[in-house]
Amino acid sequence: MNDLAASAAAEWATLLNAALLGTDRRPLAPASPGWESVVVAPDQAIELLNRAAAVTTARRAGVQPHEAPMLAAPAPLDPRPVCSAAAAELLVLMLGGQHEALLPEWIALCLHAGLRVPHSLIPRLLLRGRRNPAFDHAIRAVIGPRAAWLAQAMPELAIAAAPKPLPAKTAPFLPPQPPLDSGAVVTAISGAFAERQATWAAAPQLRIAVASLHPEWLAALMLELNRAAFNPVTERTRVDLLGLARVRREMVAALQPAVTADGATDAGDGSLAADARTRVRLAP
Amino acid sequence: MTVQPTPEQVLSLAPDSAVGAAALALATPASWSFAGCDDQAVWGNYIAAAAEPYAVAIDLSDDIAGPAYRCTCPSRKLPCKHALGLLLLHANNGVMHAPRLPFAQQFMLRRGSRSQATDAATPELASVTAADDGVDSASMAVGAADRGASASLTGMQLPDPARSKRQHDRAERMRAGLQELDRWLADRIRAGLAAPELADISNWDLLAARLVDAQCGSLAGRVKRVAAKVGQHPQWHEDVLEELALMHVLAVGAQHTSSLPADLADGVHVATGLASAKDEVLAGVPTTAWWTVAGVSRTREDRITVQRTWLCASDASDPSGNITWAMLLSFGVFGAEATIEYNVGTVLQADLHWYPGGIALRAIVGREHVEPAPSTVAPQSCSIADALSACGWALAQEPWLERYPMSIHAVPAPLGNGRWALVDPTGSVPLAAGFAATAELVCASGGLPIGIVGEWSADGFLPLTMWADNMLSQL
Repeated sequence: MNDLAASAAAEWATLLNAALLGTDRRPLAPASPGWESVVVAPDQAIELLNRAAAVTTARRAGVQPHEAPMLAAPAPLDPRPVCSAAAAELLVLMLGGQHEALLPEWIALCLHAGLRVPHSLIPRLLLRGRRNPAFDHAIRAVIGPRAAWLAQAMPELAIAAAPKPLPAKTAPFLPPQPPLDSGAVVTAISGAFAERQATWAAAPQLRIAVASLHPEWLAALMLELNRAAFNPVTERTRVDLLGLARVRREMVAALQPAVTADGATDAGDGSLAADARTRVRLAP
Repeated sequence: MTVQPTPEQVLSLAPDSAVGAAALALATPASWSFAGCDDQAVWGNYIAAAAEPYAVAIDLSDDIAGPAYRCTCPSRKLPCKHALGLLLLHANNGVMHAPRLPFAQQFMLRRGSRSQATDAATPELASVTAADDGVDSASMAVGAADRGASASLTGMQLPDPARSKRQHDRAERMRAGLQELDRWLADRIRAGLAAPELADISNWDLLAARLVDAQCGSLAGRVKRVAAKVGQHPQWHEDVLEELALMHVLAVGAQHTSSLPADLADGVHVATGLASAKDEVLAGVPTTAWWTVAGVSRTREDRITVQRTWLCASDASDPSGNITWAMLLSFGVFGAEATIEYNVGTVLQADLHWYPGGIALRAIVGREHVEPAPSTVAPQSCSIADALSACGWALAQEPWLERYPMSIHAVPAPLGNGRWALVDPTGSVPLAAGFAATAELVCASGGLPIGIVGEWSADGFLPLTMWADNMLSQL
């Protein structure tokens, strides 16, 4: 602390002591050298405020960097590329509670593509994993070594450096198995809306069905759902499933390079190719 | 017939260099519609960013007294940039002879009749000006008297008496509110910060309500923010004394703005709740640059959400690496979020018009030269020492400033007790106690420096945006 800072600190302590008890009880001490008012106010309270304003301004305007604390060792390098911003946005959407049924598939696709999650999302994923061991096991594979580093760097998060062993009979956090005939599932879902059976109570089962469909059939499903006649009983479910199908298509496109008919990869806009194939299959 | 002025003569009429520079940009035919001239006058409609074009007329008939100007823009500069711009265009032979437009004709007629009645009008005007200058409170009315006087001198209509009365009434209300605030502050100091009245939130609310009634809205908000600091942590008395002292400065300063430098007086006006009109700001000289939308912060005050969008521009050719900051302020009322005009991470080339004040910080976007486009490149950063130094200079200009932006390249490091700081080779700055995304910041950094934009405040540094993994994240 230099002389000016020490002088400001001493003057501030004087002012604070007087202000704490009040100038009615404790008369204001004379100003330290260099902190005298240009015009001394007759009212002690006003004089204290004047002097406090001068010291506050000096302290704030003269703010200096603090001494640097000890730095933690850098995290080990993860050579995998980070997933795209679009994929990260979808993950944030799911972590926020929307279309959570797709979370296992997101993790599986990310792992399959050899990508990792953005580091800024790791704390959120690890904190979620604290209350869901199966999720914790699955997500740590895409998080990589940064999880153990964070657990050590921020013990206040109470995150384990390594995932705890899964309790017996705990189901792994994996996407649902795809059906043998996705087309039949689309027909069944469409029929459920036609027969007014796609109520909100049935929505969880329908969501699992949509999450398990082969991705190529998602466009067909969306077409069928858009064609479905309005019905107040099933409308909420219809909108929910439409959103789920749309997000799943975006997720697949963002995390898995699509392969077109001629064998070329189309990582950026695979959904269009899928559209074209789907239209051909639906044609009578 | 008058002699056509030269561009050099026109520029010599500029009240300051900034107006002259701005006028040069306006001396293009594309900026004007229905521009015309004759032997005695020049006129035209300036195509402004405001809804209505500014009607500009210049009387060149008086060779002795020089030109007289009329412009419907709200600028207090005389001549304003529009009048000078039109005159420059005329000097460059860019204005064609044409029949006078009605407003120009009216202006010239009034000029003609006024010159005959100058002897009668001058004492009246002088008495108005003298009366206004004698009352400090009148200067609170955003220089209304000055503008009225200027307008009269240029041949515009005299100030509306009803408007003047409204401004005077408001100034009186504000003065009464400020005096009450100062009395209240002194009473708290007399009784002591440990007195139980200070912990009673209703006392603060009552004071804030009175300040709202006195149309000192900004001060009312500040009072509520200080009230929230009472009992917040063991050293809260220090924080509260600092804020009480700064409010005292504002209360006293706002009652004596006529004796303050113009910029400082403007800053005091804004801090007390007397904002400038948008049109008036748009009439000012803009800063054109490539602006990066660097961060957004939001605070909730009663039913209003205050949103600050921080823009930064850096001049790559400047060896000192100075960063120019601008703040766009927007509000959401009754629980609604404020409109997001520019997404964080976008870059745009635009004119920014500055609100008056001790430092140029609050601004509004005028003309956009290049549409906003997304960018994942972090804005230019500086060391923590340089950023704090810039912050200190701003605080020296306006001690009541509550936050100031910083763009740094730093590593988070633990201070102990759950507190963290950002560190670079020049030192460290502690994170604000209320910052909730420390884990995200630490994890994204991985112990290595990352680009961070945030706000300095007396509570510490509040990160708003970080650049890591080749993408930006809002915190």
